[in-house]
Amino acid sequence: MGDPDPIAGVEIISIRKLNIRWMPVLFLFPSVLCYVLFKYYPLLNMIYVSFFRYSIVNPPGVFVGFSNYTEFLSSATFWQAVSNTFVFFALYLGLTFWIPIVQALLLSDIRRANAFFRFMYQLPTIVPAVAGILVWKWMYNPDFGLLNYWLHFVGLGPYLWLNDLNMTKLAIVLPAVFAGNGISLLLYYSAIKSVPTEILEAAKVDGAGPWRRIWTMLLPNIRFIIVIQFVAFMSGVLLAYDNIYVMTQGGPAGSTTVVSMLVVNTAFQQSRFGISGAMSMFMFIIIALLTVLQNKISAEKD
Amino acid sequence: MARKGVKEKGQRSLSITAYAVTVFFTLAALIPVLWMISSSLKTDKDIDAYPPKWLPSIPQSVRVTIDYTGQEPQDNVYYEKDAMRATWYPWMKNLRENIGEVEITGIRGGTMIYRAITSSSSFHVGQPMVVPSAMFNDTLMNLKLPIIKEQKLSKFKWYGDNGKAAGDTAGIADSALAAKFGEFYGSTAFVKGKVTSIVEKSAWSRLFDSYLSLNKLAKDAAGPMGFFQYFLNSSIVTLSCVFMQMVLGGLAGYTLSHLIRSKRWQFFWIMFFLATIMIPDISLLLPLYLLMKDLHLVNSLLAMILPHSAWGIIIFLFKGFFDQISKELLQAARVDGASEIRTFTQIVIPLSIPIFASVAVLTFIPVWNEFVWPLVVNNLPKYWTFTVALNDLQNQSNVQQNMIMASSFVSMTPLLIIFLFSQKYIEKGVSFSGVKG
Amino acid sequence: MNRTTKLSATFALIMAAAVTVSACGSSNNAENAASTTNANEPVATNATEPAATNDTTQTEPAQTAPEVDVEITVWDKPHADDLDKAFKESQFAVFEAKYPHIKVKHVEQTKEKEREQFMTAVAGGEQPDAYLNPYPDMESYIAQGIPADITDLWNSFEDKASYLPSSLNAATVDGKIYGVPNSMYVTGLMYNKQMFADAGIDPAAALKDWDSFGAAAQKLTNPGKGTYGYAILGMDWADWFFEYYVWQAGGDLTEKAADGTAKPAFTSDAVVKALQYYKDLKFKYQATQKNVVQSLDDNQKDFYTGHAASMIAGSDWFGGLVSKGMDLNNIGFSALPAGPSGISPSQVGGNYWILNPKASPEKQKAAFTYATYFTSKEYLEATLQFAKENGIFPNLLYVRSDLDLSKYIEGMPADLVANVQAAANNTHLEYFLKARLSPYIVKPIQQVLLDEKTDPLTVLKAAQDLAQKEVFDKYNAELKK
Repeated sequence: MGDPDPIAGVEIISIRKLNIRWMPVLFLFPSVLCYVLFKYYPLLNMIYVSFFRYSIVNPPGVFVGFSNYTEFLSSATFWQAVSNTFVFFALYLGLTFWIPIVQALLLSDIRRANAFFRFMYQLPTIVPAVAGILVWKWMYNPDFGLLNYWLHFVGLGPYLWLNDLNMTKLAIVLPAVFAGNGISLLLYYSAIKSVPTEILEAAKVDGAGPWRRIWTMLLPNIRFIIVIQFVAFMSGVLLAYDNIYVMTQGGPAGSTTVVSMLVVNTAFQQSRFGISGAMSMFMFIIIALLTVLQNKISAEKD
Repeated sequence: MARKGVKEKGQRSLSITAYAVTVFFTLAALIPVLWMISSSLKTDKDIDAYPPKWLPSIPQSVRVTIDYTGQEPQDNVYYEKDAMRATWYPWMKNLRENIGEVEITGIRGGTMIYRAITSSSSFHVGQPMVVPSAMFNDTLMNLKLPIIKEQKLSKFKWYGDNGKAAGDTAGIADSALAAKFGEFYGSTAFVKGKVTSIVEKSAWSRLFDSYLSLNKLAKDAAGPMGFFQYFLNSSIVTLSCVFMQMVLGGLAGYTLSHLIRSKRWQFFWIMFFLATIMIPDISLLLPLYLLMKDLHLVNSLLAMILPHSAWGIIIFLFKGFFDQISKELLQAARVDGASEIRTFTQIVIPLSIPIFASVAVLTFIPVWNEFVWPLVVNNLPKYWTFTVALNDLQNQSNVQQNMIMASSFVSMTPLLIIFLFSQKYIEKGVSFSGVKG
Repeated sequence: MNRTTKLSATFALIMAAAVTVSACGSSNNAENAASTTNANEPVATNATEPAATNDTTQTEPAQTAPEVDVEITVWDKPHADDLDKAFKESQFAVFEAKYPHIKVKHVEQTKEKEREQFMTAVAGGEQPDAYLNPYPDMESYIAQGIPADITDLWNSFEDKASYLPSSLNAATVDGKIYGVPNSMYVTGLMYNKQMFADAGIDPAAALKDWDSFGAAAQKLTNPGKGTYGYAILGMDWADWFFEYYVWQAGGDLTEKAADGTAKPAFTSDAVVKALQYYKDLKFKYQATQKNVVQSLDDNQKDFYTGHAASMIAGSDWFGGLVSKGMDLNNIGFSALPAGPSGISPSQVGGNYWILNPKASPEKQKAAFTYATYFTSKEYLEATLQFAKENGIFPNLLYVRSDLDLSKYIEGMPADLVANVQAAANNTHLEYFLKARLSPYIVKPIQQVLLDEKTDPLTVLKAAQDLAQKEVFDKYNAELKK
């Protein structure tokens, strides 16, 4: 970062370096335009709507100030959903996030049939999500499910899975443990392969064993991608909807209802778009705060 | 020496762990996929069986001989109707049995006058139209034969007087299905000829009929272009998105990484892009739709493509990768007088093949599988994507569980190919980055 | 720095503009809200006769004015796999020949996320001129002003007396009519005659009351054979069938006061008894499926594959079950077993044609003509004839009273038809405020079904407190505004 560079930042208009000055603008412009049009404009719209008792027939309806916000913030159902959302977050973090990292690190050590294994890792990723979950639902079935059948050989179960209020959340996360995340693995793997061999050779000469090299050389070198993946993971998990919807539709007894599900139901089942928008805003702020926090922490580590 | 020994040991335990973990996870990943493929070949009964069955049972072919000797000769339509009654009615009565095909042979005076064959794929496609219930009557087939003929559900071959001599009639075989068919013919008077033999045989070739059914349904739904239309739509949408992501995201990521030097501005722009991934997509459904309406893009492929130009994570990913490229290298190029665009296309891109490949894959899968947005922004089937069409198919009344699994497997194949293809490029990219090192 | 201030300035500008727009919008909307809120009343009260719809015999103004050409959009294009696609299309042609001045644009709706599709279209100002909308959404859609008020059109409609009076209930609010009845079903208990016979159970005795049914269902359960007595609905629509048990126990889930305000009755004796009965079916009689949260489709599948001996079903489900291979002669249909109060009301459901309130009067009139043609005697008889000729099992309950079903249902078990019509004698609309209350009621039901240790009253009390605070207080407050 620190090298003195004649190239100016965008905020300083330099006449001498014309070609450089316009470049960032030119390169950024298309993206900025798309983001404004397809994200920020609809987002502003959503925020705007969140201040109304929205009427779909005569938009926008009655202006209600912050009452949509106070309404859901004072609702126990909402806080239940928030707590479910964070329990899911913890479960996904503890059970799934690190798995592709370990898989990629170990895979990088494999010489034989490496491409084959990498391909195999992608398989669950390309199964259409709905079909994959349907199969898992069959596996959980208490009458004819594969999982109970197998577990009974090792003396476990039978479990009721989706019929047991203490297990439903786990049952939703479990497929992600085994089906993994092929794309993340691919990213980690290609990052590992980009680590210059000289560094590894040097470590070897210094006497670092293969396990230590993974820990002290490879892992720090792919940290940038872990950070990126974590950001994506965070919003992905906190906004998860499809997999939960297909598996349990938020039930039983609301045990898997997450905030994004409330957002959808409030909007499309109850037609209360204002509250739905307000809830979206809440999630947006929460995730933004977490991201900033996460950024701070990883910046401190640098 | 000692040091070398220790290293060797560590290497071995690492290798063992690596293989063990990798094999475990790939196997665990494989099981649902295998279960899906195996289920695509099973009957509903097999799918719900306990203990679970991995191998589908073999469909049975029911072969019925009907003798018309001693009856007034009639035209071939009369016989065709009779054959269709003998096929579709008892089959409907035994809907849940694993019947692969029904073959009816009509004989008269010792020679074969016709043969009619119906496969299970045709039966399951046609069933809701031809035999929506087991309430049969004598005039029903007059209405249904045109449907059967138009949709080519049953094959009917008329031999008339030129048929070869019929073989021995074996009588009604001692098997479950034959007995059920026999009971139907015995207890009703819909079939005009005399049933002289019913034989049951294994029909291996009919194991894959769920796939054939799917294909037939798709042709019905999409017209002569068949599924190809949807496939084309999906491909246009997905490839445009991938291309857009790579160009826009690549440029923006590079700018953030190497062209903007002010830390504050860098942070601002990163947040500008990144913040968008924190918006619940579903809550933008309505505003986005209204926007598309204002842009007059509802019912167009563009409406499905454009919103995908703004994925925060892609820019972030590009930036993260470009950060790894040494600034000295780029500086050297600039000093050599290369323009910024040339630096980007000739130095940065070749170094970054893996990230482009990864972004392609990362974009391809969700866009290919996207469902709600294409559904909402379109109401004309001609703009449907593969996913929407597939979903529509899965909701049809004649679709069975094995067809849903078959359709899932079919929709996997394009992605399968993409993966095989992109992997090669990622490897190539990796070797490039080795050169850079 | 410059950028940021500029950005925030733009932002402020947009917000300001937005607020101005809203200010204009809100005034007329306030009226709207006022006129619709108290309009909710009669929806839940089933007995209320739709005010003055049938007896006001206004003379139909003769249609002498020359008809102007008008084009309407209707979301009713048949799907490629629809059994009656050809028939429907021929009927579209009949309609166009009969009313040459009305051009109809038929649009196909996909079979998933229909609500999202419809709502986005409404929001986008592209509401179809005529749309088939199911009962449960009527209450909230009317409150939002989505269906057009067709009271005048209906009152001047010559054929209105032929419609069943009860068919209008769910579309009538405050004496105003918002939908043309299209189809109806009534729910009852469907059972597998063969399984009852095999277990030596007489259906008439078994379906008498809760206790006899519980005992019979227990007897019908045989884990070795994979059969069970009663497919209970415990997924997130659990409140749908649960409400019947509440009615049978002599109560309802919500109570409505004369001033339009509502309050919950979750802890009333009837609800507690009903939930206790659910608990008994699952744990005392052990007569339900293991997977109590399985989908409705799975319940149906268990029934037509002979795993479940009985389930609650709509009178319009026969066709589907029969087409899945169920033997019609094997299906029994009866009113639900009577509860502690000695009654067994069923629920009616169905759908309405709703019109676009923003369409011009000409379009509305054309759409009304369209909707009434497709519920006319002429059309429904053609449908029945088509069903008969094609071996399709017809619906057994119609919105019209002037159809002679007996002509079309020969060969059908006579008791079925009689029982369906009998079940329709004592009906009830769904409980009030269902759209918003559903999750609050489903939760205690599931808690009871999933955990034997749950006490019905305790969970109902908790649910009631929550619903009071989060739904009723808000609803009543909105009403007063």
